[in-house]
Amino acid sequence: MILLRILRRDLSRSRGTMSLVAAFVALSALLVAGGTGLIVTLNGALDALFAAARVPDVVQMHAGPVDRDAVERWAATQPLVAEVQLTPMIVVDAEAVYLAPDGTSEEGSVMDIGVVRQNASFDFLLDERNAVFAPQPGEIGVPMYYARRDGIAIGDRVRFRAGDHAATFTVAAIVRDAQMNPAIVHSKRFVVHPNDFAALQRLFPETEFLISLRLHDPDRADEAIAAYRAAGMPAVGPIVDRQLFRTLNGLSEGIVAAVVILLSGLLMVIALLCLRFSILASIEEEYREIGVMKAIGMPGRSIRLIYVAKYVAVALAASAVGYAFSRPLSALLAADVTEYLGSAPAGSVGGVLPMAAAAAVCAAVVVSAFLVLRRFRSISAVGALRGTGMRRRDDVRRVRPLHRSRRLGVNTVLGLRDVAQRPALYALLGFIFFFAVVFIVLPLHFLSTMTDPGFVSYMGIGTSDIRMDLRHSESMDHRFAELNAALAGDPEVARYAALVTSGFDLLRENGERESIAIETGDIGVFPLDYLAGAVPTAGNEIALSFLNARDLDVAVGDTVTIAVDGTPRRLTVSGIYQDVTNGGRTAKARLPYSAGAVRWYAFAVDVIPGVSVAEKTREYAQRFAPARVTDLAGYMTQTLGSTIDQLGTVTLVALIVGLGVSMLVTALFLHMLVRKDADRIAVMRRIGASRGSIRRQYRSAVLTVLALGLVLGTLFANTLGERLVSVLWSFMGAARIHFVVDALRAYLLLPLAFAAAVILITRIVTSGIGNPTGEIR
Amino acid sequence: MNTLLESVNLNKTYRVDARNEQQVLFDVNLRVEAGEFVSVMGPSGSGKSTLLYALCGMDRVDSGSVRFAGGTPESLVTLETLPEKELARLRLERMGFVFQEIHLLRNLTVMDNVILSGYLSGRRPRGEVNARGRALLERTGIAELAGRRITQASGGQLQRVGICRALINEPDILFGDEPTGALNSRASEEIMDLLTEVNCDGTTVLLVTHDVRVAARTHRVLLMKDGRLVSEQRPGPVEDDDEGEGEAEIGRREAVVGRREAEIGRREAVVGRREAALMEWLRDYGV
Ligand SMILES: Nc1ncnc2c1ncn2[C@@H]1O[C@H](COP(=O)(O)OP(=O)(O)OP(=O)(O)O)[C@@H](O)[C@H]1O
Ligand SMILES: [Mg+2]
Repeated sequence: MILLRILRRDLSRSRGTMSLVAAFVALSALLVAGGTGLIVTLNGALDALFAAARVPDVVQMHAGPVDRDAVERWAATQPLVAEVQLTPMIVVDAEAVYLAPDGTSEEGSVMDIGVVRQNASFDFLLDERNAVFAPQPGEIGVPMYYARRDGIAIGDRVRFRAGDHAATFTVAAIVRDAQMNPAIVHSKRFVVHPNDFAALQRLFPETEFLISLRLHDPDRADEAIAAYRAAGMPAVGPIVDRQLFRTLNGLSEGIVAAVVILLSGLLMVIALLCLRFSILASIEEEYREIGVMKAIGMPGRSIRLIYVAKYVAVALAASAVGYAFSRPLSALLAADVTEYLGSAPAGSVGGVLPMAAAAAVCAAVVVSAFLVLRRFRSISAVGALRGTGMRRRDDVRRVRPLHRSRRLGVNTVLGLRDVAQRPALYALLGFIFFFAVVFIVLPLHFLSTMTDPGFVSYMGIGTSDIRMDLRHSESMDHRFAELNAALAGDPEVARYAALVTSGFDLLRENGERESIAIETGDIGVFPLDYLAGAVPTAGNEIALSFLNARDLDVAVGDTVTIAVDGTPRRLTVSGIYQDVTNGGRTAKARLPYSAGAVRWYAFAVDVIPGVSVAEKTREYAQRFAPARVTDLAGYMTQTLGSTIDQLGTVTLVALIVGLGVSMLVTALFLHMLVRKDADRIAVMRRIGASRGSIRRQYRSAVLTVLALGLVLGTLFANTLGERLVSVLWSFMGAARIHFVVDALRAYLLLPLAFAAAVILITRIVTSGIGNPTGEIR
Repeated sequence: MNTLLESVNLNKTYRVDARNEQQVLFDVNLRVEAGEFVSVMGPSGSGKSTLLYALCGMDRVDSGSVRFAGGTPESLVTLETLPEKELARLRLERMGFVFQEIHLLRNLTVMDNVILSGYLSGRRPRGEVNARGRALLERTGIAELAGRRITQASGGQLQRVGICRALINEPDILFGDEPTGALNSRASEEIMDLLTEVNCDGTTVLLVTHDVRVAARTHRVLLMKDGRLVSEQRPGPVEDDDEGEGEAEIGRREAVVGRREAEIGRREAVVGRREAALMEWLRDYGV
């Protein structure tokens, strides 16, 4: 039967293409099913955790004393509120907490550390088996965050030190805290026995309260919050609801799932493009046969079915394979979820959704095959036999005739003309190049920006030769004075600034009190780029970091109230700057500082010309031993080192993936193009064009497309991409990132790598071009 | 006379599939002198095209040798020893091809199709190639088609384009595989006139055909049967054919030099006579 013969020939001829399409489909199905599986597990685990912990619907954090009876009386009158609970929480300074095996404290940690007793009726802290953890005296439950970070195990010791006194506990459980589990929540709760709690309270008298409500109808949290506020209940601190816990918990793991699913979407698009291209190429090849079949009266439908059958078979097989492998992938991805949130109850949905997702991939492939194959209808028997019809569509576009070309080599010109004549065809390749370039150039640019010395302007400090930091210690004040004197007397120091960061209380409109770190001292000496406004010049002015300004919702010219020595002072915002250090929340003002609240001291130093920065750095580092003395580059690597390392890895992966996908698709594309152009190639071979000559034509075409992709991709990365990175980094504290471009890598080495890869692929693919007697259709 | 092209004991076997082989050429020996106008006739499937492709180096043979002198004795080459790349160069610069299905490039204009080989060979400045291309189009009477795409021309016109393309590099020899096969008799005759002119200008022509009207216009006709050259006829140039016409006829021809109609009439008479002779010859061989 003629149809079967065509099908068999087509399958054998397009084996390479079909296996590529199958590979993309399988990968896409794998990732989409794996991602879906992860989301399902995440959801189930969250549900289980929230149920076991009896998560409150509304939580008010309150710094200060609470009238327990008043709150309970109010709750009793509220029809919305089912249960109320007040949890006292001891606030422990980070530097008083010793977790790590190497015996260093949590000093400098962004986390607010609290110690609580296990709750009585809800908001439980759970152990690894999601059971309510009840510590014995001397035992402690450590938040999952620290267990993961430091590898803390049951039986390890945790120490809290206040002055000469210390309390030591044995880790009895790694606790899951439905409220505060995720790393992005900057509060962590340790849980101890009530007796130990009382003892600790004597060491650390500062206590906060968590006022938690459970509602009859969890969806009405907003109303409950409004009622709570209206009743004037204690409210010095943020109020949060269950939805937020869910979002925060889901976010960190959800991002992985989102990335996986996005990636699968990208692969899917590539698979569909390849599929479409492969179908068009084979229609092109079988064009005459199809015409003949139509001419002898075979219905178009049955011809089409034969082709569809092939793609259905491939799509089914590939997505089944993808789905099969997605189960271990899901398990792998979900390992993290299970550890953080506990395991999800085994349910039927777990298996169905990923399967549905894989089926959707399969369906998308089949549908798009159907859509492309609709072109069969437009093949007319007469057109096919006379060689007119759709084949001609390629050639319609008129471009500059060959005989007008003067300088460029004839093969180069033919390649260029080909791109101009069949833009729609080459666009597929162009898209892939474009995406690949953006994919690589964005992290590359960002990496060079981060490693550039100018990046300090995003770190809230001015540019200086040397930076010295004195972290919190007993002798800190003394050392500061020593250093100050040494610098003042050093003839090799051109100028220096002494900077003191201390904690102040910020008073919000609604009466909330918030701690804010403000840098005081010689803040104007080393200039800093301000997003808006300028450095404070008067005592009643303050400059805020971008994130602080955004949180407080203030602009230059607005005022904020700061408690200075116990009395509130209104300060006018003079400027807003970018800062990605210290959680992005800093400020600068010309305020007097109180020695008791100093968090750290710093110096910025410029040496006079001719003096070696490296030597000066070494000298001061030796003389003032615990002080951290670094040149600016060193300061940056210490502060951003791990981020830079991660970004470096991301860039490398992006480079490999981007180049790999480009090469793969180029190979596929050229392979199909050579088949499609078989008769054109045969004619040229017959009149004496060498294989090299034809190779140069394709190379010129592909390089042209590559050049376009490189230019457009780089332009995109430099403009919109820069904005995109700025948006992402505005969460970290830098809202207006300007790329510092490593021209050598981004504009020379990367294009060369692409060109080399593409030339190599072109060479490999075109070496399959046959001898001149090859049949001309 | 110089031998331009010579084949010695060519054998060629096609492998249809793993078990089936078919020998198509059996010890074919052939010699073409420079300036000759030769045609090969034979029944369908006798191996004419195969022979042609072997002679021009498009296809390799199993055994035997093809020597191509390319005009001067020192430029003699043995095709089977040449690498693919040099064969391509040889075809590009020293040989021209005209096919039954003209095989022009659809993405180029008529003019560009003609000059492409000239550009590819790169032997002459592009300006010169363009000038020659235009002159060829002029001479073949299709100058006005230069800027058109090839879908906008008739079959006969396209075959002229094919001939112009074949001649752009001033080849030593022009190969034709049924160049008139797809044309009606009128167009076919015009193409043959053109090829005769080309031959008169000094280019050797080797045609494969099964049209006796075409063969009758060539100097020498070879007959191929089942992969062997079985016979040969030498009608000689039509111009030299005085058999049965006598001095008077020649005198008359000289008298009317430039009067094309008379010339054509005479030629047709000659061709007609030869056709009849060729038909008889073919019948003798059972073709
Ligand atoms: N590529 C091929 N593979 C296998 N067999 C072939 C191939 N090309 C031609 N043949 C066979 O070789 C024989 C000679 O073919 P060829 O094309 O040389 O004949 P021909 O004399 O040119 O015929 P025609 O006058 O019909 O063009 C035929 O029997 C044909 O079937
Ligand atoms: Mg033939």
